[in-house]
Formats: sequence, structure tokens, C-alpha cells
Amino acid sequence: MTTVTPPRQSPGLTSLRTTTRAMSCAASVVVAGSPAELEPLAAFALGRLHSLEQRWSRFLASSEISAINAAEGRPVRVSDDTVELVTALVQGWHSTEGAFDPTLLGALVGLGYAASRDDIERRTSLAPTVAVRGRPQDVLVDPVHRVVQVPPGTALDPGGMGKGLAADLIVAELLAAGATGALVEIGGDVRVAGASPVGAWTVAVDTADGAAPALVSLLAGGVATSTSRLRTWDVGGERRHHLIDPFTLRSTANDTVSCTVIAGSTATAEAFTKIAFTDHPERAVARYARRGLAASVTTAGGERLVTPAWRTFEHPDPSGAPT
Amino acid sequence: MTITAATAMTTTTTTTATMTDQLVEERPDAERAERLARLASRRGGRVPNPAPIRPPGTPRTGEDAPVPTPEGAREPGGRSPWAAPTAPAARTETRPLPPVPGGGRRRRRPGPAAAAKIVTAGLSTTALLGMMAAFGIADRRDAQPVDATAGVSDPAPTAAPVNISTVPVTSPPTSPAPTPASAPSAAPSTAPAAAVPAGTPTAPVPVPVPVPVPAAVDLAVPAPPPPPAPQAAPAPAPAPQAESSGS
Repeated sequence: MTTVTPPRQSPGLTSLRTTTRAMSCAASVVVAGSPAELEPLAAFALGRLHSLEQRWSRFLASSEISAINAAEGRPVRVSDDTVELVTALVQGWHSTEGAFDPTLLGALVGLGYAASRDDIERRTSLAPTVAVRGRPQDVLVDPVHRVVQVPPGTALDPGGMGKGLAADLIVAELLAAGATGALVEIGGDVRVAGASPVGAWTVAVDTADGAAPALVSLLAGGVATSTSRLRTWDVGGERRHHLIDPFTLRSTANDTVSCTVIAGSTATAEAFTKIAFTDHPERAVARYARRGLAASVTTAGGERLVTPAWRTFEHPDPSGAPT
Repeated sequence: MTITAATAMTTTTTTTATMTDQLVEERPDAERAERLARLASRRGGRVPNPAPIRPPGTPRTGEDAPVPTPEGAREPGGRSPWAAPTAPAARTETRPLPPVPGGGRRRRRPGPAAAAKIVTAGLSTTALLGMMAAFGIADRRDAQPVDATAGVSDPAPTAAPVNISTVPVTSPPTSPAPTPASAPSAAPSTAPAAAVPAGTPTAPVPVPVPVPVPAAVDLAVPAPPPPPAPQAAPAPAPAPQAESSGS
């Protein structure tokens, strides 16, 4: 579990921090603004977070994602939020050249990740026709009429991108509602925007190598970290984790144990973390650098590889040791 | 013996009609629609197969392509025109024949087309009747219903107008026109997803399209570097407001 230091209060600017549990993980909201608006804004943010979980959770049979996955190729009328989620999922697949694949739910459930970590009674139920891997290129959306249609045999897994997109949406809505700054963290995906109570938003990044977390500061954007060391389970003596290689349809098995990406949105950052788990770590870092992304990749041997852009975000180690 | 001759005549007629149908199927596609229309008029307006002829082994449009193997080709940019609807069958509306006075069974007389087929077989009706009379076989056409469909298409009711509603046959669309389906409401505070009842008028038909490919990756904005601290006192690290520890 992560402990977050409350922000120091700047003169003339107040902030409020609220924590909850949603999407099977810890979540926190920091809202900056006028004192009278902080509590309503924070309550709004938590309400939105839980409503998005109701819409997007694959563990809820009543969710819109479950309805899409059960439609077996038929169009489904959904909310604007879900249209945006499905759009982001497919665009993430395009942007990462398939490294991020939102249609691996069949493989994931088949490997043993069917029940929610928070409530084992909540389980993903898939039709027998769902394939281990679907066809994201054939997903169709109609934003005007709010219709989503996935091809038969394809099931969408919102996964980490759902958390990232939820953070993006809530931060944007908080600012639109009057907050001067906002930070939303959901299961390690962090989105910041607006004025921070302390000048810049600072995020500690756990690099999974046992060292002290790295510190990154940003004015606006999203930070997402994926790791193969958290959501794990054993089947027949084989250790498995939730990151599925779209090419092998098994848990990824390369040398990467953790990857953090900083991008303009948390949803984008979340999708791009998957590149490091489907490619050689050094090649993955090169691919991030070509895109101008700030990324940090930690290998099983404890080596940390970062892109040039990462250094514009990271604070130097106060001890003077190179990072 | 006489009966055998009559049966042989019927058989010959059947064969001729069957061969005619086969010739219709084998003709080039350009003439097929016209011949199908003619055949439909004989069969009461029903078009036997409005779908275009596809070569054997060609997958039907709408079938989901098989999921590629892990080592197989990856198609990040490719699309397949899946789920393209086939053109619906032409709908026809025929008026039933009025009931026979007295409740008898309506006798179907062979129409001109059927008579033409009999003539085509090489023996006119007159000649047939002559043969039958010579062998002492009565003309029983008025007493029993004639099976005019033995190898011959049903005659169209000449008194009933035929209203055929057809759908223009076009190439399968790349994006199917779906019918709205119901979806559960996930949050009571917002409009629930609902099914559109059948027959709902005036609502525009949704046409989902492929998700657009993003043009570029959105990048974050780093914070400006802190001012240089005096050499005697290094700048303290800022306190983090959140931690990205992975999920």
C-alpha cells in the first residue's frame, strides 16, 4: 500500500485530499481551489469514479463493457463515457502497434484472472464464443448515437487504461467545475492538471528495484506504471501475472519488471507501458525516445533504462547519486 | 401401356423444365437478374436466390475471420469487412385466390407457359388428346386437379397484381448498419442505455465506424527546473503528492 504525503498549503490556495477504493485498487483525489468548493468537488470526483467503475468493470455483469462483450457482434447503445473508453482502447492499440491489445480478455480469464481482487464473488463471465484474442481493428463506434459494436468473438478488457482514462476524465471535469488544480490517482495511474498547491505536481515513481522511488514533477499530464510483480497468481506451480503478451497469449516473460511512462494523458501513458513488456527493454526505450515520451524501464537485474525526456521530469537524487 | 405413355409424357415435360432452370442458373450474371425475375413471375413472385452467385469456397461476408495464431500475422492496420449484412430477400405480396364456390378444391389449370413447355417437348396437346382418345383414355382434366407444378413453375394468378418490394443490391458496406440494441444502465445519475423498440420511426439509424487512428502521441508538460540552490545547502527534494507504483 502506498502512503502519500499531503500537500503543503500555499498561501491563498487551499486543497483537499480524499481517498477511497475503486476499480479494485486504492484511489485518491487532490482538489485545489476556493475553500467552499473543495468538499463538493471532492465528493463529485468520488461519485464519478464509482459511476465509471459501474460502467466499465468487467467483473460486473451490469456494466456497459459486459454488455458489449456479451453482445456477440450486435451493436450496443452505451454512454458517452464508454464510447470514449472504447475509442481510447482501440487508439492505444494503434499507437503502440499492437503491444497494447484491449482484446485479450479471453486469454486473461483463461489464464486464471477471472475474479475481482476486491470481491471474489464478482467474476468475469464470457460467452463461449469469445476468442482468446479479438480483433481491435474491427471495433466500431458511433459517437453521435453512442453505439459500440465489436466483432463476434471479441471481448474488451478495460484493464489499466480504464483507470487511466477515469483519472483523465475526472481531472478535466474538476477543472471545468471550478477547481484550480486537480490530481487523481487510481491504482498507480496519476493524472495532474492546473495549479498545484505547491508549485508543481510531484509524483513518486516506484521503480520496483528496491531503490528509493524516483521523483518526477510535471505541470500537466499523466503518469502510469505497469509492473509484473503485483497482480500475480499461481496455477499448477506456474507463476502468472496480469500482463498478457498479445503474441504468445501468455503472461509476459521478458526482462522487464516495471515500466513508467509520462504522457499527455494517463490513458496514453498506460497503453505505452505495455511496449516494455513485449519487446527487449533497450529496444522499448528506443521506441519511447523516438516518440518523445518520458519513460523509465526497470529490468529483472535491477538495471534502470530511461529516455532523454525522462530526465526533464525527474528530480535529481538529493544525495547526488546519478539516477 | 397407355398409362405408361402418359407417364412418359409427364416425365419428359419435367425433364425439360428442369433443364430450363439449370440453364437459368448457368447463364452469366449479367442476364441472371432478368431470368430470375421471369422465374419469379412463374413462381408467384418469389425470387429464388437474390444473393449474387459466389464461387465455391468463397467465405460468406459477415463471417468472422479466424483468430490468428500467436505466431501468425498481426494486422494492426488491417480491416476485414466483417458482419456485412446480406441483402434481404425480396418481399412479395400476392393476393390469395378467392374461395371456390361450394367449397371445392380450386383446380389449377396449366397456364400458357406450361402449355408452351408441353409443346416444346415435341407433342402438342391436341396430339396427346388424340392419342388418349385412340386408346380409350378420357380427358379428365376437368375432373381432377392438374398438377401443373410437375417440373413446371407455378403459374402466377393472372387476376392478382403482384407487389414486389425489393432492396437494391449493392456491394456489402464496410460498416454495417446496426440495429440499436439494449444495454444496461450502469449509473443512475446519467441517462441509461435503452433498447430502441422495433418500429420506432424517424430516429436516425446509427452507423458505427472504425475508430480513427490517432495522429500523434500527446506529451506531458514537465515542470520548470527549480532555481539553482546555494552550494552550501542543496535544494531539498519536494514532497510527492502521489505515487505511481504500478498496477
